[in-house]
Amino acid sequence: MKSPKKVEKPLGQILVERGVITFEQLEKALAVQNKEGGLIGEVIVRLGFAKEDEIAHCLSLQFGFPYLPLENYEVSKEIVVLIPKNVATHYCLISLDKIGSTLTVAIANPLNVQAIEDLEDLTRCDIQIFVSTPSDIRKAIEKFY
Amino acid sequence: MATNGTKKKFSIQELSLKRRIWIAISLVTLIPLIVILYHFSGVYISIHAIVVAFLIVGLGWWIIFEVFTSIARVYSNSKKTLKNIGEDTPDVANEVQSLESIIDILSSKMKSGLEQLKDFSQKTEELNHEVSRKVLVLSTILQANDLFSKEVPSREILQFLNQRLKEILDLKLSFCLLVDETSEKLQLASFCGIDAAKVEEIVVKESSDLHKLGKTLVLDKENKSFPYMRLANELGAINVAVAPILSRSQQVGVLLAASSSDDFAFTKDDLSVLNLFAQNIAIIWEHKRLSHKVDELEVFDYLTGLYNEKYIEKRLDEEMVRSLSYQRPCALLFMEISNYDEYQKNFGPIESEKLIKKTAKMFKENLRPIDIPGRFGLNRLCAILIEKNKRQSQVIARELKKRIEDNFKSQVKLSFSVAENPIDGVTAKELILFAESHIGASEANEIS
Repeated sequence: MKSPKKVEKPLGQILVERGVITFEQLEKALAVQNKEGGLIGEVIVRLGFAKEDEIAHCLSLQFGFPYLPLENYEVSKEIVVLIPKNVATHYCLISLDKIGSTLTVAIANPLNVQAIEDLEDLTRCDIQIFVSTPSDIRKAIEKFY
Repeated sequence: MATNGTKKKFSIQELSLKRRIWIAISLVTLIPLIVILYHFSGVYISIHAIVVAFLIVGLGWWIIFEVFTSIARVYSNSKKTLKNIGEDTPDVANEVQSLESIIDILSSKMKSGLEQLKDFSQKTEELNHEVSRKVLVLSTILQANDLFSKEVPSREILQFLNQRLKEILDLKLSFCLLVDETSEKLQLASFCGIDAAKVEEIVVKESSDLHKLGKTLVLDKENKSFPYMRLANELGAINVAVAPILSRSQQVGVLLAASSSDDFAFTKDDLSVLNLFAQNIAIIWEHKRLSHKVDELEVFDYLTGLYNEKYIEKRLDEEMVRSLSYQRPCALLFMEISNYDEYQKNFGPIESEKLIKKTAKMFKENLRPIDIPGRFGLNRLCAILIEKNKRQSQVIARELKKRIEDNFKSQVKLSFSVAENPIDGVTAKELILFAESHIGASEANEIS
């Protein structure tokens, strides 16, 4: 597994660059986001311009974060509670495994540098990132907390 | 003086008429009788003795004349007095009978005069009482206004008015109920002569009706039709007057006055006083409501011009909702002038205020325009750091500490703390509590 990359680049821009959505679709999605709020990834999915897993795959390929479908993944309760539920819900992430001082985490937006910094401060661990879809992560949070 | 006294003592003018008549008759009859008796008994009476006897008889007649003259003078004076007071002289020829009639008239006049005087004195007393009561009412209103201008809490002013109302109307008890703006129910605002718990118990039972009074209602010996008989019974009062407290034509409370005296009726003046007090309570209520609204609208701290605590808490809650929606962090930074007490002791309150103002200015200047700076308590400033996590906020805190302390050449010592959503709390209150409890806990730039 690769070490997490800390990248600060808008997701919409990456999706256009990777050809997942068109520039016009991005503009429309941004307009909707400005009006209604919410995350750009969620707006794009809601508008039907891309699917959640397409976005996750794109991020995975672009930045080398491995993609992990959480659907059939079992996580130990002890590992999950290393991150408080409110933090997991806030940043849409869930801890998966801990080996030594490295904590593996599945996150919807691996470009959220501040969230990763918070996890480092909170757990005093190095954070290894997997990308997953927001709906999978939310289901996992509901299931394991 | 002693001589004058002696003279007066033996003066014939000082003697009663009866005694004077006796003396005169004695002189007029006894002396000639003695002279005749002496003459017939063969005793020689000198011419001198006869002259003296005549003189004494003359003196007797003179006394008689004086007596009648004085009666005539009294009669004449009485007639004049009667004329002066506009009464006709009785049509009687006999002066003595006329004098008797005059005396009767004068006596009855005097009697009626005395009665009038008594009435007048009673009326004066009542008037004085009324005036002093009005003065007391006015002075109470003025004192209440004075307390009001000195920003004395409205509860204390209402308590003062209640106390005075009880004294002025000589009541058993009085209390005031005002509508609570949140619950829209009547609540006890002030009371006198009754236990607060008792009033509250009664209010629970009666409040549904009491806030729709419409007009002043009275129960006393003259007004028996009173819709709140149960209330009167609960209060143990025979006489009750309850006035609505109206603000902009809406009833915002009631002022109740009760007395347990028998044979009692509230006068028109009593009810005027009650309504006057109710009007003043309405003014206080309205002012309190407006002040409360102004306070609610106020978002800036008067000294620093930064946002106040209330606004920061509200804004932080909003910002936390936003940060959750965008999966972003949001931090709250606290900065405390930790040697403020010492600074105040050394340089005084004016310089200390200047220090707060200057620090606040520097604090704001060293934040981003999107951050939200505020004042939190006497010597604490805070800022909502938009989309900053704890690590980033700690960097900001360190820079602030260095810049501000350097600017004051180390005369000022600063302590910081940082709380972040979601790590340290999910509500504004939780973040504030965390930041407050961690301020100064780790000195020497170890910012939590």
